Amino acid sequence: MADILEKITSHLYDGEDEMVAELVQKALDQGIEPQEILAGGLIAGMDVVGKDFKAGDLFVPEVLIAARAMHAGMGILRPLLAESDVPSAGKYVIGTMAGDLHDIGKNLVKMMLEGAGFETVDLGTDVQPGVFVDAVREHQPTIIGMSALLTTTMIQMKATIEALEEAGLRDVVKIMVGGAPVTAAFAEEIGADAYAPDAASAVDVARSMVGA
Amino acid sequence: MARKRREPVKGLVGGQYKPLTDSQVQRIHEAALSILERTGVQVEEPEALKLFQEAGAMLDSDAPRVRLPRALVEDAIDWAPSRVVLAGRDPRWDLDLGGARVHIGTGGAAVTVLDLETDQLRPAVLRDVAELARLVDALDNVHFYLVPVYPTDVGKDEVDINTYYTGLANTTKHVQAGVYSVQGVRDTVEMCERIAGGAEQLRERPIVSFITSWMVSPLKFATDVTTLLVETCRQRIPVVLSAAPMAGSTAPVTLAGMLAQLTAEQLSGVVLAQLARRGAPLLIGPIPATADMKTGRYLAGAAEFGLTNGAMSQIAQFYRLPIYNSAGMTDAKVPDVQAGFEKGMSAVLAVLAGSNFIHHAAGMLENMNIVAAEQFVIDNDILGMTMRVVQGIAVNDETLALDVIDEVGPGGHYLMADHTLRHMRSEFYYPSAVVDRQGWDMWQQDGGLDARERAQDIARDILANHRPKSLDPEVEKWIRGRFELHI
Repeated sequence: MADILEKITSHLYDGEDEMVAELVQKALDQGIEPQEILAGGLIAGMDVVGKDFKAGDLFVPEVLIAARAMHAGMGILRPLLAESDVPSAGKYVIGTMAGDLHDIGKNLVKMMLEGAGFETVDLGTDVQPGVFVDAVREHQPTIIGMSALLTTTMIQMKATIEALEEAGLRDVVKIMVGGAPVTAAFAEEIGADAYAPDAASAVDVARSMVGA
Repeated sequence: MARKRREPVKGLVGGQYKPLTDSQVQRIHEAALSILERTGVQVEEPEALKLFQEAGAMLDSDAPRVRLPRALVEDAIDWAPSRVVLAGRDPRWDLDLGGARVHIGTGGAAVTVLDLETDQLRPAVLRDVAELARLVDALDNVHFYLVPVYPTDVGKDEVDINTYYTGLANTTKHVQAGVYSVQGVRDTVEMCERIAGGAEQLRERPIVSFITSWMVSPLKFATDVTTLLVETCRQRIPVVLSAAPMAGSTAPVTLAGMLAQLTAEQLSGVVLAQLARRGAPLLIGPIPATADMKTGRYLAGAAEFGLTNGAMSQIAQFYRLPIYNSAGMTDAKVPDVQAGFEKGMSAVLAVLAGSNFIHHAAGMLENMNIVAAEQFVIDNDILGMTMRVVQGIAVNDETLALDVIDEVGPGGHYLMADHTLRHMRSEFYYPSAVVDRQGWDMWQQDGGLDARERAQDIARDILANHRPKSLDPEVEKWIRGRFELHI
């Protein structure tokens, strides 16, 4: 049993999604409990990925394909797991500020969050403050993440926070900001809850905010 | 699940940078031949004089002046091998010298160390030869270990065997050093034959080579070292003909004049080496530099340094002779901004010029007077970056990536494309933690250290943990029984 879980871990590390799905099915066929496959195979694999990424041994694309392999495995396990057994780190609404069409940074954060078990709602680019407000109402996320590449669009972060305040929603959600021109000092100045300098630390920050 | 160890990136083909035109190279060549015929070189060493005389050189009766006919010089250039392999104890570190194949490493021989812990200057000792060898062994962009310090705690009669032993015992890379006595050369050869597993094995894969700084510019042979040059040639161990004139004091102030004189000096050495033993493996060793006309000091970080060392590579390629020259040096006293830009500039020029064996390029400060452990670590990344530049840009179907461009399409991203995963590790150079690429906040979180401090941490870590492959215990025992070692 340990053998097949180790194989899952190893193929997940290498980002082989089809192989991981196949092995998860095989493990189920051998009678291993879904919960055990999840913990001992998939999550164990992502833990090693996270560790090696922090150490600089793995690069961003490798983390992303490992996360994709994790999802492939989860696709098979999810129907078999009780709702409470499916790990969700929290719901995360993310978008690029009004006037800004740059989305690679935002996409990267989103993918990394998904890899870490967050459920994400992507509002896309050029997101007006009102759209963030509506999304908070509709999806009731734990956190919203705002991204900007341009110094001219990062001021929209302040406008969005003000819009949330006006709608009476500021206190029901945590706010994270990031993007090339954004700094910790700016985040504090506009009243955001947190700032992350890059995609990897965004995951750490998000985790610490949900207490996971 | 560990990623594969990166293979050394060395021996890449340079030659993209050509400061001289072909006709300029030709003119310098003609000028050098003319210097050798008209002015000649001063030689007092009796055996060298005899060799020159027998070969038909013209000797003045009064002054020991030797004038070399053009035909003799041209023959000697032909006799000298155009390819020399210097071996490492580990064959991964073999150096195949010739053409425009680039290798780069340390140089010597400083007598002062900027101490890693006290930040004070102190005399270099034999232990530094060992420690720096271990440090260099762990730095993948430093391709060979030219012993960077002269140990002041060992007498001249014992320094050769002690230096070579200590180098070889602490790194698997090729070891080169200056030699100081005939007995020292013989002892070293005897030891190395033992390590290599026999006399012929050593000649096939020479794990050491010798530097003979036989030339006192302008145009005068140093008698003692000339004796060593003849000896090392006869030993059939690769030898370097090192000469380092300064434009403005020991060479004409004009760079062309310096290059012509230096070329003449080199050719006179090639003639002697080939007369000592036809086919003797050698590297020409021209190190052009300039004098500071404000003080007379030797300059290692001048703009002209990379420029003229690049020119010498072209001249070596013209003669099809492997070349040892210099780059990556500085006149700075500590690893600071001046050190960074002076080193980076000359290193990139010398590698792009296709120099075969670029020494002095790691660890040195105040030209070649001081070494600092953290500077080796910093230079390792400068050299890694320069080698990436030599590597150039591959253009083919795979690298043009038309299929993946089409698959990703407008507005998509390449982060998860197989193509990205396939190439991302080899396409870019990834520096060590000397280079900080984070934003301000993260950098602050990590302590806000500058490059020198980060390099000091890395050097400490390597020195505390890196253990290179040791010599065979039986061989080690034999060496210790045979020679007086001080370490």
